[in-house]
Amino acid sequence: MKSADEIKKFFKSAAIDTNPKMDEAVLNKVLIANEKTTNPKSAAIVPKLRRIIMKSPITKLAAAAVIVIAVFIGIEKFDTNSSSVVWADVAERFESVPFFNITIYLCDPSNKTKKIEIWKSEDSRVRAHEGNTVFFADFSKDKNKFTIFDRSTKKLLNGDENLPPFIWRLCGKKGQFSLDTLTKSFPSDVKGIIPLETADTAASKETVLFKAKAKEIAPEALKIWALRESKLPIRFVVRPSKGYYDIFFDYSEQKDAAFFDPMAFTNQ
Amino acid sequence: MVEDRLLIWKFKLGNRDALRQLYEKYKNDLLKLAVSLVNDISTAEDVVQDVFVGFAQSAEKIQLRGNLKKYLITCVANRIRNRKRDRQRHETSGIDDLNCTISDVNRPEQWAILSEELALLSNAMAQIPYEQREVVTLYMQGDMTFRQIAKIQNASINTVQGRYRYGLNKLRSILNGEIDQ
Repeated sequence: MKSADEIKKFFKSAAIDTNPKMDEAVLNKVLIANEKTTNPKSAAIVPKLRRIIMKSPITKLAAAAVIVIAVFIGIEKFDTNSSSVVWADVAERFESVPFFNITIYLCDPSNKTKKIEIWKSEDSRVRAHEGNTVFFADFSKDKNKFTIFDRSTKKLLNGDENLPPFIWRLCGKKGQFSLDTLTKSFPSDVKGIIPLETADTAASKETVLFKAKAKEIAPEALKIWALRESKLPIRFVVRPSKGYYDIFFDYSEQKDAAFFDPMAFTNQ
Repeated sequence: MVEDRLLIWKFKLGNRDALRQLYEKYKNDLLKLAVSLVNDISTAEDVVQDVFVGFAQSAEKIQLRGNLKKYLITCVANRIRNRKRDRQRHETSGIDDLNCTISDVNRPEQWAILSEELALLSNAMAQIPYEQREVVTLYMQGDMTFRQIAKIQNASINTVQGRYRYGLNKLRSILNGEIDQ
């Protein structure tokens, strides 16, 4: 035996066989080992995925892009969810506010403009001005009783018939201010109020704009602005077919007790 | 090669029959290689069994590209190398310094059954230094290139070629002597 080829042939011809019984035993061990490692498959998926991602710059870039998009979507969704405001939240929040001042600019169908001002105190007393008339009410005692004076002469006027219909509708019937009574005071038949989707602007981050739900009411016929964080209404604009209502809400100043006292008014 | 890739693909998908087929296909080649390298049947059996178990456990890591036979051969060579290193740490004599020869008597639980030629070859291989033995075995039996063997041995191609020449010459003289007797 001289050449390498002959030795190679000798290598190839040298046979080996296996004991079938042991063969089966070894194969069983192998299969069991395979079974043990393939069962907890989920644990192996993450490293495998990481290997695939880290394999090339393109997959790395794609993975980074997916993460960035997911983060943006997450932030957007979180932002929307956390600050979404529905009309019921605004109405509920308004009823719990301790004091407020509402200024209403009203233009009736005959194009006559009026300014109505209403103040409510923490103890549910109300004072309202309309033209030359002053109204006082104490909702904590008598929900339907108004005391009405002539503003310039301070003379007491008799009877609720002197109460303008709008204020009567707004305050008198239920004895409690609510946005529900306010919206029902308008000539337009407002059937429901829903948030109006607006462009993502600086103002839209702080305020929510509502519109009437009914399709037959034009978007400009009713607009309500509320603060996104406090959920308090700040402005109503109502434009029926004729005339308009422009209503401003102010929560910044609480008038003192004398302001709501009819006796103090007459003694001034 | 294509058949191997198909089997690996099936194996990765959890097909046990594919693993069985791979085992059947390569067990003899790996046992023969291991016996040539260690000249000890039980060690060779342990090594090959460990390689198959390791392979079965690495379904997730195994890739479809490459040559499976060479991969398994490399695994066998590496495991033997590791065992040799471990034994040299703990004992004065390693598997490189074998005084025993392969016995003709088969153990009842013995897995590998060697032909006379293989027993002769294994005994002859045991007489040459391990690095040379490894190069000759991987080249002759494993059909590996010198470059691939150099990578396994962490040596230059020239060194590997030198080991092959020395190993082959020594093996030739041993076998000639044996056969002439």
